[in-house]
Amino acid sequence: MGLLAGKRVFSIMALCMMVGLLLLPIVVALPSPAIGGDAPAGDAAKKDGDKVEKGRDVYYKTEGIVVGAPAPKTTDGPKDYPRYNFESRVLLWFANQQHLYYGSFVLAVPIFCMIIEFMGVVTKDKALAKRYDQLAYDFIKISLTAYSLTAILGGILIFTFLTLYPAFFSYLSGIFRPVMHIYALMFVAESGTLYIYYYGWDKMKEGFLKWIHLSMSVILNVIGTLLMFLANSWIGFMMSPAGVDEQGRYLGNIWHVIHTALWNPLNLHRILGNMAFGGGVVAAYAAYKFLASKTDEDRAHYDWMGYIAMALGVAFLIPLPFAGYWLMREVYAYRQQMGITLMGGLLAWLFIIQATMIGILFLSTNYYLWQAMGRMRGAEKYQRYIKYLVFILACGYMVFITPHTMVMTPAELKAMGGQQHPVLGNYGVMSAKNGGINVIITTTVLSFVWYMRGNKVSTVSWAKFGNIFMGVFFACAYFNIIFLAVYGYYIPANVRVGLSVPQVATTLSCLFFMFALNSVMMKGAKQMGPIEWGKISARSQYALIMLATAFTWMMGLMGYIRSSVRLFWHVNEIMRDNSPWAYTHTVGFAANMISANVLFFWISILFVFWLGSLTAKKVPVESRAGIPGSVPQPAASH
Amino acid sequence: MSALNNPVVAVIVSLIITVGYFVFVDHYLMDMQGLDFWYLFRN
Amino acid sequence: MGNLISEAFSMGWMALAILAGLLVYFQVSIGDPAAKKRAVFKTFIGIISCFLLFMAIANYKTNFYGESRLLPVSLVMITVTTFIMALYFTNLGALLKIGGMMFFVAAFLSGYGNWLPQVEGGFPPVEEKKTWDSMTPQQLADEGEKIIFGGVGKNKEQGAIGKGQCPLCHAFHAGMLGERAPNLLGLPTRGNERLDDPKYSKGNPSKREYEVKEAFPGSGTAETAQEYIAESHACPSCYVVAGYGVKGTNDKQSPMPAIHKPPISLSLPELAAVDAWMYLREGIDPPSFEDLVKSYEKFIPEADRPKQADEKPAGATSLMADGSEPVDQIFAKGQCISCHTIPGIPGAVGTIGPKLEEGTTASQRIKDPTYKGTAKSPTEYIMESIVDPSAFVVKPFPDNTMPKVFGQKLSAGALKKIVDYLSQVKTGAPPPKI
Repeated sequence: MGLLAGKRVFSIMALCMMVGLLLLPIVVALPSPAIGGDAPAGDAAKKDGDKVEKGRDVYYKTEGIVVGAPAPKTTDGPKDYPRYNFESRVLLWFANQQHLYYGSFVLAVPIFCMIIEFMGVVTKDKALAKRYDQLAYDFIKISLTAYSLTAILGGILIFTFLTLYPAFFSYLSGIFRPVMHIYALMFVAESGTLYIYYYGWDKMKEGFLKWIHLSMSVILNVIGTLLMFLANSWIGFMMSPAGVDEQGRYLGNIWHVIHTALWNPLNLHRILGNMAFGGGVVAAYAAYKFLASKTDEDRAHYDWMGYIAMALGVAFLIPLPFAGYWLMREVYAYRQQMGITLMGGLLAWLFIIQATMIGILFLSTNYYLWQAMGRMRGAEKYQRYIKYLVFILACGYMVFITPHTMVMTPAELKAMGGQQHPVLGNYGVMSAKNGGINVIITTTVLSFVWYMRGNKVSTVSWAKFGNIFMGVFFACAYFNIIFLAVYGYYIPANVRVGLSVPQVATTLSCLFFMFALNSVMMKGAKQMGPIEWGKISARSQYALIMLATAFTWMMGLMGYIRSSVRLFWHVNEIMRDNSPWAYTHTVGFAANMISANVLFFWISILFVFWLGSLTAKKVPVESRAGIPGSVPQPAASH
Repeated sequence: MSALNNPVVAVIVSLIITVGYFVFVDHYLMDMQGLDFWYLFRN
Repeated sequence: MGNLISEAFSMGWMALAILAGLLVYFQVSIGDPAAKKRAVFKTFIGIISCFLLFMAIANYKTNFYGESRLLPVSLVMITVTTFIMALYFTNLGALLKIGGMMFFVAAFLSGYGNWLPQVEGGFPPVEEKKTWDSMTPQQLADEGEKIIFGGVGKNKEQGAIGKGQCPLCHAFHAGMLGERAPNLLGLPTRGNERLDDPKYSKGNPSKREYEVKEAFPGSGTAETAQEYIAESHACPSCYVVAGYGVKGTNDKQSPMPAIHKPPISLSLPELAAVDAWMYLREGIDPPSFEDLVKSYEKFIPEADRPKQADEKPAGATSLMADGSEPVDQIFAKGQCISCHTIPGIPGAVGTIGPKLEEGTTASQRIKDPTYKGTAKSPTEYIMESIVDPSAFVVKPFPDNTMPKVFGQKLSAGALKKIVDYLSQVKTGAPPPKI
């Protein structure tokens, strides 16, 4: 008993320490605004006789006393843009993207851990609870190795910045000085919390201690999220500066500098994006382990892990377009011109690629679910209908990726005899596209419903009516989406945009009502046969890998779009980029660069996984963390 | 409940509920944007 | 291809040599024939894969900054390599197949990116801070030419047009008769003649017969030729040259917009620069910059003067309308309203071109036996009329009156909005919603 009490005291102390770490940066930061507030006031008092220079905030339009230096006017040369015999921007691009990939991975995985650990704690089924707990532990172990790599890449990024863009970096760090210090302290707090969380796992796995451990994961994620918000404030400032005057002079209000027009939309978009990305990486890890495993037991475990990771990733993928819509609306509100460059101008082709990729993501998700039905007995009854789903998906996809209006030169315009292609022009309108993507999402919902009821037969008394109702509801939903899409053709463009709202509402109705109805019907349902984890086809694992790779690629693409929309500005409309690389690359170059980044990331993270499996071999953690002897040696591929 | 287990009745009831629901959703969401089903014919 | 192979050899000869050495070593060292055969075969596959890999790297190395769209082919080669290797090195199979799959996805996406039309964003315009008051007259005139024609030395180019949009209506050289507005050649000297016109009623604006009597209450009339020019810019309807008024108003009202107001919004220094060019190109010394600005200050009240600071920073497009505006603003920015009557668009009462009721007329014009254009549908016809106005000229209006620059000066989105709107305008029906 004494031992247990001691443990309890110890763990509460550990939790307190975490909270302390969380509060540390805030405590440290508190005096600094006070000093910051005093200093200019003191200065002002000193030169009361002189004119106190005031500036006007470019975004908030408030008056403030000028504190900082104006944004430097750079010139092309080794002073402002020292370089190797290579394009500095590409080097920075690479360093940034790798840091971002690893950063979002290590921020996303603890959130998964939190969710899965919580599921483990609340699950009544003891065996399942243990499996969840082990899964969460596996996750955090993967992220631990990636964590140090993230820090190293962050260091490389800073050095790249300092050596290749010194003028710009010193300006940025001049404005964000207090934020950067808080950031550094937060990073210390994050590391401390992560290690306590990881090493305390086995010591606190029962009862009350488990709940303390769970709250630790909450604190860990709060710190991680704040860390990301701070980093977002820099890119937000670069895109939509605030808190400085027209010459870029800092006006003394740090909150204005952080809370720029695009900060909050970026925060939300990045959290959701990180989660979907993290799900993709973990699913790919599971797929790799599945394909490499030699025993049925391992296959079962990694099959299950891949399924959970995929489901979590897709769950966060679905709200992502809405967050993107918000971000885009804020961009338009901030600068119309910026929005047009994105959607209808220079970068419009990149959005065509994005549309293609969204289609690919949904197609692979569907394919995975169909394959996953293969591991359930009783799901055969749905197999023969899959071909119709493929047909529907293909039609929706074709409609979705057909372009309509594009940036064209007058010569091209003339050659085509008008703004639109004589034949395809009739199909690519937004009305039809919305119909296409809604059909795709609705079909994905249908696949999910089939998967969830695959091996079960409802036993509720109104089962027959429920099934018929579900079928009729889906049929009517398809009909409604297609009807609205067709109707859109006959009414003018300015009114037809209004039709997308009922279309989306139809899709969301399917998602919520059908999931709810299905889970009610399947309560206490008769099982036709167990889910035989591990009996899934190898092809399905390639679908997971495709999902993960496409997601990484899309993240690189969207990041590139977001960054290059500033065109030739370091800080939009404040500090010009006068380096020789101030132009925007072609779509093809960007695509090659993104591919290179994606592949480097995957090769390096496979290496990280391999390192992780090495430690697992040395310390055989009770159940099945390691698979001795069967781990391939990825190092050989380097 | 037993009447609902008759497929024909079930289909009819489902159709009424679903079509009603979608007409309702479409109508109100279109109405919010100054649109309706008869827009095409009025112009 | 040949140079790729040689490049691959020069980069990878060491690795290939080691593999070849290994091949020989297996040949001699392994006794068991079955094992020997297997080892040799594996090494052979290894050599092929290794060579493919180096080819892929060579492709990247030589074409990285080139125009080649074939870079993703490298990724396909790597995919093939890994899958071949996976077949024979089964203990690494899972990893190789996964890697191959990833390379394949990346290859597909980058290939797609390279297949799309390649647009490169050009270098940004050179940053320049204009210090108007210290410019020499020549520099000032150059700025003026840029504002009128879009560039120095472009004044004789057909269709050259700048921010001021003047050449849309005015001609600037001898022999060119502007249908819509007076030829501006000789304006600095002609200004004095205009002042003597009894209709101008110098010094007594209340006697004027025009729609607007004064630029603003109390501004008075021009006293000098320069002030006449300034007044014409600031208040076009204060005096209308005979024959150039809006049709049907008996020359009481001018179709010209006030240049200092949106959408053109030239600032006072810019207007001064425009005038400086008008003087200098005829060999006349322009008045000083201060005097030029002063002449405008007489006719433009403080509150109406566009601020220099509001000017969009460099990088703003040279488009008249980018398509983000509501359609009525697009019609105004493109100056369509100066020449055309468009039902439902405020201020669109021009009579130099036909009334635009394309919902009714477009289909009739396509059926016209004299129609030689390529349009098949009304929307195509409208687009053609904007982009290529001479394809079909409505009687009795003369050809070559409408500028042919709108294909370049309006964004795709703006054109689309115009076409959408015009195709809904029908004779005798109420105008569509904007």
